Amino acid sequence: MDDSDNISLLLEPRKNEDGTPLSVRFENMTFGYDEKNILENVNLTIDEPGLLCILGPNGVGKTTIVKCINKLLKPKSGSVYVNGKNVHDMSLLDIAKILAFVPNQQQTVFSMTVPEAILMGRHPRAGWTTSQRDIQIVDAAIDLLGLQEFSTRDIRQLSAGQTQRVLIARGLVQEPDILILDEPTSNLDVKFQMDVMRFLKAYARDRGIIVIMVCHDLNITAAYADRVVLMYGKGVFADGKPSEVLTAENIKTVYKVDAEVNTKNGITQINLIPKFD
Amino acid sequence: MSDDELPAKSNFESEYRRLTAKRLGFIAICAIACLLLMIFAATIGSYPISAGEVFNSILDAILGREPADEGIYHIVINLRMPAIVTAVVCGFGLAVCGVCMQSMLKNPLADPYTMGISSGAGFGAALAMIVGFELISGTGLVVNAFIFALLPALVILFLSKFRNATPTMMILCGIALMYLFNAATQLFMLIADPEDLSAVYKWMIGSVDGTNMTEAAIVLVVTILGTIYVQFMSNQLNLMGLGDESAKTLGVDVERKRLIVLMVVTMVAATIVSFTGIIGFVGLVAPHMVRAIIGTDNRYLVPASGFFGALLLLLSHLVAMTIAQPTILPVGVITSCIGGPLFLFLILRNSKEVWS
Repeated sequence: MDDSDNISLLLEPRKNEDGTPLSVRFENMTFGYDEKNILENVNLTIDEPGLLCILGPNGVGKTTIVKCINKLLKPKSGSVYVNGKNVHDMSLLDIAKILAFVPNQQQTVFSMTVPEAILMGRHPRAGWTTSQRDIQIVDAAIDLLGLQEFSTRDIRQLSAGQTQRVLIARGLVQEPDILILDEPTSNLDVKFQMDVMRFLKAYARDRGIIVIMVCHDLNITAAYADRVVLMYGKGVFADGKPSEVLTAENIKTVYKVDAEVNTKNGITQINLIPKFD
Repeated sequence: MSDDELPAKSNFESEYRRLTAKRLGFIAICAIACLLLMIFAATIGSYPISAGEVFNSILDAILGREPADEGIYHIVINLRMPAIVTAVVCGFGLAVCGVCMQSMLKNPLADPYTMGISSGAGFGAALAMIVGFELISGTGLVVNAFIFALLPALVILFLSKFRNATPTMMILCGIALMYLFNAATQLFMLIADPEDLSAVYKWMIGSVDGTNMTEAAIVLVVTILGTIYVQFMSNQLNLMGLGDESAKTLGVDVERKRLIVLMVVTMVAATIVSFTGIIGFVGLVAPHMVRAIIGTDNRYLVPASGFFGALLLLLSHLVAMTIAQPTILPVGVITSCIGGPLFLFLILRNSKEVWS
């Protein structure tokens, strides 16, 4: 990790002069399309800074639940509160000032360089103008995510993994209280996966913010997450420390896969047992 | 983030400064070129007038001074300037409309034509000229053209009550109405007598030399107001280019804002088209050419495309006036003649891949 002054711009602790609580809370939230409910009566409170990973099988509603936080999806019933306020009563701009969302992928039609794409993340705070600090913070994010060599490149020419790093950078320059990432490491190689996870964990701790990520890799989650929410059957199946949630029994129930779970140097390690015909 | 050696530190700061200077420079050059070309354009005609005399006449008109030569003043201000001002303002307005539509609909083909605005205006004009039906009697074809040009946007507004107004839905709506209006216009043209037919046909091509100073002023005011609003919205247009989901998470109420911008832009385009007829290609081509030069940031792209479009239409007007003297060709023919090959060239040379 580079410790220069430039990057420290991005790592400034969360400012909280007015004592706003830091939290995301789901209250009896139900979400679905037409008759079919995907999530039913979800109750979940996240009020400790740290890295929280949401796990679960495909189609269980991991992305759905995070998209209900920033109003990308509207629940059928129940409420979602961010920092104590019902998101229903907040404008998209109010939400964007608190919460950054890093999508899995994104496509644009017109050309845009990598720094310009990252600069977009400044909109909720900067508005129409671009200040020198906005630019410096973009530089910091580029350095932090190792995107220097792509700095003149059009984002449409990047690989999926490089695009993901650009999107993460865009989320960071938003200087959020709550950072949500939708499978941010799905296209990254193992080294970058580990780098990103290590960074997100440190980022949440040092800035004192909540980082929520939707994730698929059990081992990476076990190694880096401060808290794991395992989803199954229209809601939260298990919630707690990685070692409490990621047990062989839970994995068998949720994923229908046999696993061997060991703890080595305090880190839970999961060996999935392959099946053959 | 990684420990291995990486290239030197990111230097967007100096790059951004360079880019901003380039963008502002481009805008300034286009604006100055526009002014000079306006003066030059006023020197062209059957009666020779020097650039100095044109300049003095304009100053006289602006300052309200007593002109030294009434004859020259009359030719410059009353005979030549209306068309020149109309060309500049319409070129500016059409290009601004094109930029907005392309950016917010994320579609490189969007312009007042594909959105059905021009076809609506054409239908309204044909209705007045052939059938003699005027929505407000005594107003001629202008009000007809204006109101029918607004229809596609109103249909989209109405449909958006029932489902999300996505870019695709908007474009499909525009195209559907375009076909509908064109078919209806063609039907009228089939039954029209030759004189009306020729008038409608000429209107369809679009020209800037039929306007007087009052009309030019109306277009000017509407275009300026529209441009101010769009300029104010330009950073949100940038975000719309990222897709609806990203734009929302960055604080833009995409669906609502897109409808509002559509209404404003339609208003501007409808005003222009109803006075000049259908001038094609400026709204489509000017934004693409400018994007290739200064990039896609709408905060700069909007004014830059505007001045560039003004330049393009004014040049076309000059060509239209001089190419077949003493006959003045409708400027729409020239814009399409120049615009078509230019566009092809741009597609071939799209090494920077400004759009995909």
